[in-house]
Amino acid sequence: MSETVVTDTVTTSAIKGRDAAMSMAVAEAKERQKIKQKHRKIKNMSLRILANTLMALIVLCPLLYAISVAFMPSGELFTMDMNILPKHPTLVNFAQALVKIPLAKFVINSFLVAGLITIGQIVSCSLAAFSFSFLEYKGKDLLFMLVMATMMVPGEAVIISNYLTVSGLGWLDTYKGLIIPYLTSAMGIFLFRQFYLSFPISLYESAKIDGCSNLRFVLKILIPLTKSAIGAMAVYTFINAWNMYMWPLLVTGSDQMRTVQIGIGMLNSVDAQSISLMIAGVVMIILPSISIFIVGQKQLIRGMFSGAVKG
Amino acid sequence: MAEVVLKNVYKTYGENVNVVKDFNLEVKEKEFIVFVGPSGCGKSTTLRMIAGLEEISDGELYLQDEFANFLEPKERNLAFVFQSYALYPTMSVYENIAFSLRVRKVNKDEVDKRVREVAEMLGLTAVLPNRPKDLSGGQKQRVAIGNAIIRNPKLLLMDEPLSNLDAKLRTQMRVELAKIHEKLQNTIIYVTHDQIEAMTLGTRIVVMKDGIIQQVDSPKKLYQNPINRFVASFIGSPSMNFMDGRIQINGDHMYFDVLTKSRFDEKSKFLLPNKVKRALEDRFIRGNEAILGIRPEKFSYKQKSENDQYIDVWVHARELLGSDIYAYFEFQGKQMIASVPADTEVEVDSHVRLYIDLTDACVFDKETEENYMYIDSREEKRA
Repeated sequence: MSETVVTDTVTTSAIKGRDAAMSMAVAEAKERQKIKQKHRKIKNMSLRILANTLMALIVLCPLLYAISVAFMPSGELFTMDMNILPKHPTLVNFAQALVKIPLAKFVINSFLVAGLITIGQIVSCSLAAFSFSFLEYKGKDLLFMLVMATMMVPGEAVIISNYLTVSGLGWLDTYKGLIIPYLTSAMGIFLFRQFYLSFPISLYESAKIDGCSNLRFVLKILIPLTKSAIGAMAVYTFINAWNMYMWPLLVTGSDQMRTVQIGIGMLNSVDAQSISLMIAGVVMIILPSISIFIVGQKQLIRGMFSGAVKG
Repeated sequence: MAEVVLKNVYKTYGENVNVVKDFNLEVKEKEFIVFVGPSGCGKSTTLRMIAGLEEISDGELYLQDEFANFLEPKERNLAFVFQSYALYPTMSVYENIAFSLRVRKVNKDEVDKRVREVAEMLGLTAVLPNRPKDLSGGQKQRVAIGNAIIRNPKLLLMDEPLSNLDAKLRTQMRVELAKIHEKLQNTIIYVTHDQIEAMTLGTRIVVMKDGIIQQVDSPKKLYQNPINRFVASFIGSPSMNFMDGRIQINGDHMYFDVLTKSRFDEKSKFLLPNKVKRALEDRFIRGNEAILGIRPEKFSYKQKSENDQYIDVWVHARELLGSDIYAYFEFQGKQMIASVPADTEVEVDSHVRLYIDLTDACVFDKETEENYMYIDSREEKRA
């Protein structure tokens, strides 16, 4: 009897020992795998960062060179040497650019124009998109197709007729002429509509039965739900409006009305020699659009894509 | 006073697509009306027409005796509960429930009082500050109901409010809905495709098919006295069994000859009880062909009375449901179900003699599928 007990204990301890050894081995294998995985992760990550940095450098090359040139005295630019970085960095170009042209006025103009266009587009596009996605009326689809069709007409193709209209209204060289033709956009309507279509129609019907007016529905329910679309739209529109060149060039004539993009062009004609001066101006005026992009990039990306995929 | 009256209402899409045809219904105060039917039968469309969410193509709608075809939804003094809940995601539960009062500019204290009352009634007090996304399906549905009943509307419309819930929750909410109706005493029109919901909730049920009302009656009457084969098969779970055959008169007796293996078999000839016989006697039956309808619970393994008829079948599957067992067998190439008490020994893959109680059987016309046994309660009253 006792013998069997002994053998039993022996076997159990043997089993225990074996188990312990096995679990150690398993733990070791796990550890090894973990380390391996970690190494692989680090390797992948560093490769990715390297590739991205290279790409970024190539893409940013002109911009970086422009910044570098902005700090160069103009003498340094016109030599036979390969001057990539300024040897004697200076702020003279910036100071000169501010003195030679009323840059502050241009910046204010640009802000005013781009800001009002942005607000106008958000209001008009969201309301238009609301009607295209929630209201029922005859010819809705046809109307929407027409709006979409305007996206296919390049801006340059209609610029002359727009110019004639604006000049006929006596809006040349005014803020009205700069802003009003751009108060809505098919792209914006499309963006908002895609966004709104992802909401269940029952939300609107429920609000209607609750006694909510259309405008109240847009303000109280739709807009809080579409913050990311509005953010995306705002960033996109503001940058586009800020960078407008052709239209302001056509419709403005005086320094009072010029936007920055045209103003910088003036630096070129006033003193054709001073490329570094002009570049300093350019560097100054791209700051707002870059900073807006940096602030709004998350919104922009989220907004641009969340409309595309439902859910 | 009638709460809702629909007179010859049609809904037409495009040229000739009739979704709802000649819909006539009078809903009285405090009734719980259920529209039931398979999907696409126009029940939701009718409800949406009453709510003003769909235009009425033809016919008249009266709400509280007022012509209402062209009233805006908000002017109709009704509330609507959607299948998808339709909660406002950016608002808290409190704001969701309060929304319709706020739109109507009710003063703040009154709103607060009412919201708390409703939340208390629906068991939502604890989640009032939460957003809808943090709620479970059942809670969301309750918020939707809260949003609907806070205005204490005279008419409450519900479009499949329970179909997004799981089975257990659905049963629970069904009981709660019945309680709410009892408490608020308002008129409810309820749409569902689930006949159990219809049977348990409705004071009257409207059975629809292809946009046409088939029968309007109380749940009990619908079950016992269906107007046609569609209603008979739709109401009741499991569904009624149908056998093809021929009516035969032999002396004083009337028989139902069951069609088996595409010939009339002497063995499967049912003697029809007197009640059925009387109903069929003065009827003209084309070629004497008819369909016999038997509820699953009218089958049994044991002979209960001398009048019981029987068939021999091959049971190929069984389902135990606690109190009952469903025995599945094939007959005339169709699957049929017998519902027998759970203490019956049902063996799968075996030959069984099933006894049939034909006292309450239905007999349908082969072509029009109308029930010869149907008694029009209006005619009954007149008589």
